[in-house]
Amino acid sequence: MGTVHAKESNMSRNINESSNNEKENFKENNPSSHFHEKMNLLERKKGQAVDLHLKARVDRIHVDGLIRTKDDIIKAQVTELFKAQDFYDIIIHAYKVREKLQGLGCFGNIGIYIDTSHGPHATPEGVEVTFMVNEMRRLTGGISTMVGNNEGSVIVQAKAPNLFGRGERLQMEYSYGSKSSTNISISIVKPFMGSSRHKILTGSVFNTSNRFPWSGFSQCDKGLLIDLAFNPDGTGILKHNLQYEATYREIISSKHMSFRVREQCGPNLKSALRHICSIDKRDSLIFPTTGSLVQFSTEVAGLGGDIGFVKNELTVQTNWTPHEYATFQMGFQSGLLRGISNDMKINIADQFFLGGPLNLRGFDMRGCGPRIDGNSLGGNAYWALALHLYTPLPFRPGRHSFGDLFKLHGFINGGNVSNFTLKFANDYKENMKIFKEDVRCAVGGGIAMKFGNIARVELNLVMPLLFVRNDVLQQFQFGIGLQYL
Amino acid sequence: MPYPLLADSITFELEAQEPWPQLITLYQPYEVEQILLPDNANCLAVQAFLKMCGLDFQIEPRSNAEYMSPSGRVVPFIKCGQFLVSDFDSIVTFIGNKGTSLSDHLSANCKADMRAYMSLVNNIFINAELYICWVDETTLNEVTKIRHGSVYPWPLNHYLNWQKRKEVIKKLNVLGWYNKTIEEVCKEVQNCCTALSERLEGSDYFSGEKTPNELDALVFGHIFTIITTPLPGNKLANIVQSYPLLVHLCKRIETSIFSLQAIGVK
Amino acid sequence: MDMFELTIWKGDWGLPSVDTECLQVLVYAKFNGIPLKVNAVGNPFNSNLPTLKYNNYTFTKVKDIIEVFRENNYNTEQDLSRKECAKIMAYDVMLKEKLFPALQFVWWIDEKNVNELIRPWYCKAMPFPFNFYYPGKFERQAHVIFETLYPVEDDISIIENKVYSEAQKCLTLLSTSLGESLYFFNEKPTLLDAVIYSYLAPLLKAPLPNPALQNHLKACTNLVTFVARISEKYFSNECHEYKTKQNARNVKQYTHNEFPNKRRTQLVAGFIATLMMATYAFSNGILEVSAKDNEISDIPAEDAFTNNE
Repeated sequence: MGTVHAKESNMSRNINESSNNEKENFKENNPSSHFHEKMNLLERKKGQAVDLHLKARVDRIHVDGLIRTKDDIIKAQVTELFKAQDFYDIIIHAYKVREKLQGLGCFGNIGIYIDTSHGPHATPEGVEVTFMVNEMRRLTGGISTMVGNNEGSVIVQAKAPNLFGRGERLQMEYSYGSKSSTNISISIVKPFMGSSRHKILTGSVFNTSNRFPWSGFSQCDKGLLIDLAFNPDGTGILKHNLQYEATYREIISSKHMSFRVREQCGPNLKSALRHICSIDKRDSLIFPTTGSLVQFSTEVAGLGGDIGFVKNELTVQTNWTPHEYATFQMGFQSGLLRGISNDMKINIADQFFLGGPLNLRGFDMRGCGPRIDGNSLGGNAYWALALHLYTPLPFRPGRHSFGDLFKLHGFINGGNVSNFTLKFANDYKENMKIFKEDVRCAVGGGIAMKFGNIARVELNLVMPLLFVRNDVLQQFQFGIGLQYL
Repeated sequence: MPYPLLADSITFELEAQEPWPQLITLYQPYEVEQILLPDNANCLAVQAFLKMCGLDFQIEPRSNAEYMSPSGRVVPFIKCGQFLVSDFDSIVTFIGNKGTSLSDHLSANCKADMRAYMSLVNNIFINAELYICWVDETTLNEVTKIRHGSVYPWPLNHYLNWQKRKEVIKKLNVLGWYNKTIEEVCKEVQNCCTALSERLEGSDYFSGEKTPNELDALVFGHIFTIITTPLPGNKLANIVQSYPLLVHLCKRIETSIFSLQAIGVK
Repeated sequence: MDMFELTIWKGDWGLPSVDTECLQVLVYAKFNGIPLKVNAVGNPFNSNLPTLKYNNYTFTKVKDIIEVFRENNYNTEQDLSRKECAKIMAYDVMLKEKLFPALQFVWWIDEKNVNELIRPWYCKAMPFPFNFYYPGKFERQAHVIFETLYPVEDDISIIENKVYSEAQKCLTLLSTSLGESLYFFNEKPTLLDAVIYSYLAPLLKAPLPNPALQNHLKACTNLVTFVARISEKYFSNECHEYKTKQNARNVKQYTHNEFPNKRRTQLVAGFIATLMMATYAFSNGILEVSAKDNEISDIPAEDAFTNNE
């Protein structure tokens, strides 16, 4: 690219595309099409050609439509635009700034206008950039549906954005799931906007209840979560979350539960610190074609309360596309849970479970690992590895539109979850037991679908290869969820 | 009181197929620091009943016994092979289905009377005990809250005390006990003791025979616990103490079936 | 001497009152031959029923009322031994524990009974504004009772089983306890008979659409004759009235077994239904227009289906 076709000779451009739901996570279409859109807009075939690398300087930035929002946070967002050297830079930066403004969560549509600068202080190659923003109302709300972890739910939301003019917001969410799980959360979000790095502090109280028929209990949680998210490099690739969670959990017995699970019933209090660090270079959340994700999380429970443990988890995903029609993906997850003292308990709700249509395919939800009387007990260590090969649908129906939501995939996945005592010092053989004994493995294929760019639907036919007598196998699996292996 | 897990004849048949006798494990809250008056009375009644039947059992104290119970917050419960049975009445029925019964030889009329008296004890004593523990302010603050919350970490103990109190009050409200004054509650207990004492008049045990049965076990559980549990005011204990027949019954049962250690010295 | 003035729920189905507690007091009074002025009412809003007015005092608790009777030397228990008095107390508690929940269940929880018999009856019995409020209130109270008695059970059919099996056992006990005698303490009726009658009679007499427990009671023949004996002896008027009414209705049913003005009723119903639907559609239309003002597009849509309200 080097030229752009301007509509009129005075170089004023209207790149006010409609920009609802710009947040990449929630967008329907592939992020790569984002770029297409941009180019399409610039390629208005009328008018004269302009050199994009023409030297240009931003003289002024206007932000129109601010009512409640405070100036300082807007300034912090837009200053980087002054660094632009030429016209191409200006356009790119203007887009970045728009994304940042959108990220504040205070505005609806944002339009960008670029014009040559006028007036006494105008420089010869100077331009003025105007952002037309549209502040959200004091209170918004809605009803939507959502899928996650094999369950559909209805969500009622209410949100008061931009409470004090600096992007603070208060939100309330209530969801009721098809499997009678409920979730109420009220959170208050406060972003701290620096020029490059920004932190977001979130405090929320929640009340959830879930049923786990595979383990025979239901769980009711009431708690408080404080989350501080920051990305040091400002690009969104490296992210840290520091969280503190205090939860009152009640494990509720059901009629048919094994006594081993029944023994864990009752209330307990978990008070935990968690650190999550993730490096995400993938190009898409659900059907990435390139890049990898590495995520570590460490959780220490036992600062008060009666639950104490240290939990480490690692998630790795890497993608490789040697040809347009073939994408290889490798996903790996593992975790380790250790107690910290004999006074502090580890509850069944803290254990690791494996199996499910988006987890270790070929096994029922929580279908492998230690179980007793049909109730899965979970283990304190697990690993799971999956290798996928994705191809587009044969004959590419609905290409560039509906058809891109679907992909065929073949996979082989394996893993193990068990209870083992880690002997750090000498017994290498003992420590490696989890990778050698009772490893589960299944191979299969099916169709995967992307749903709202955050959720994934899979319909698979799976053949378990290695399994243990107690495991619950499934040959046809249908799964919906946010996380997948 | 409900008959949980035992409603159908199918379960009766299933129970009959299990080998017998089996080891019985009795789950209850911690006696020394946790258990409250009504629960303790029930646990002791079940223990006494099992002893009277000559069945071996093991006591397993658990801080979350109440939540483990198969029928909603009722302690104690027994585990016997595959089966979990909670609540005194259900346990009696369960053991009866296994062929061990203390009241089979009684006449139908006598059995009906006995059931009525068991209802009387179960209702009046338990509700009065719940009232004393959870409604009477001094007992609530000085004993109940401390003991009930003792097994949970701070701030959970306060929350659970509050939650439990709310539940108990709701129950007492439905049964028409919450609006009573402490004097009315004492009056109820007094009437109940009078009735029991009249019934006992002139015989060793309630059935009028030489051997105790489940009614004796139930009365023993409540009377013994009320007498031996120190509470501020000791209102219930004072009432019960004034019925020598009942106190003697307790002593008789205690010496005949319990060695002192088994109950735990209070 | 001052009159006793007793206010009770009104009766039907050959019963002097449909309420257990009212029956209890009334039957006890009849046993003693107390001269009573009975007000059978259909609105409970001014006080709890039963209410006894005597010497300008008002008593509302069954226990208190019976105490008042006794103070006036109306006492059926003076000849009984103390052991027998203890027995009355024990049976009273047992019935309250076992039969009261069952009656509540039959009356206010069992859907068939509530919809076909109980709610229509109360709606008819009460005066206009109250009949919209009280039946619902009684129903809610009954639900609260079962929520508290069975806190962890949410399956109503399991609760039903438990409640009924308890009640059946209790009925069997009563049946064996009564045996072949006339009353529970042989020849003379006592408070115990009043209490037992008050629980059994409504269960037996009400023409319940779902007669599960009723059938069990009917199978205990000695209890049925016991109830019939008391009804005949002390409430013969109500019995006969009901019987003649029943007969008259049967005859009526033979002659016109179709409603009068059937066509007119149908037309009116059809018109009202159309009106309701039109109103609904209209109000919905309004809703949709206002929904456009909502800023639903500002909320990140979690998925493809975003509905607005």
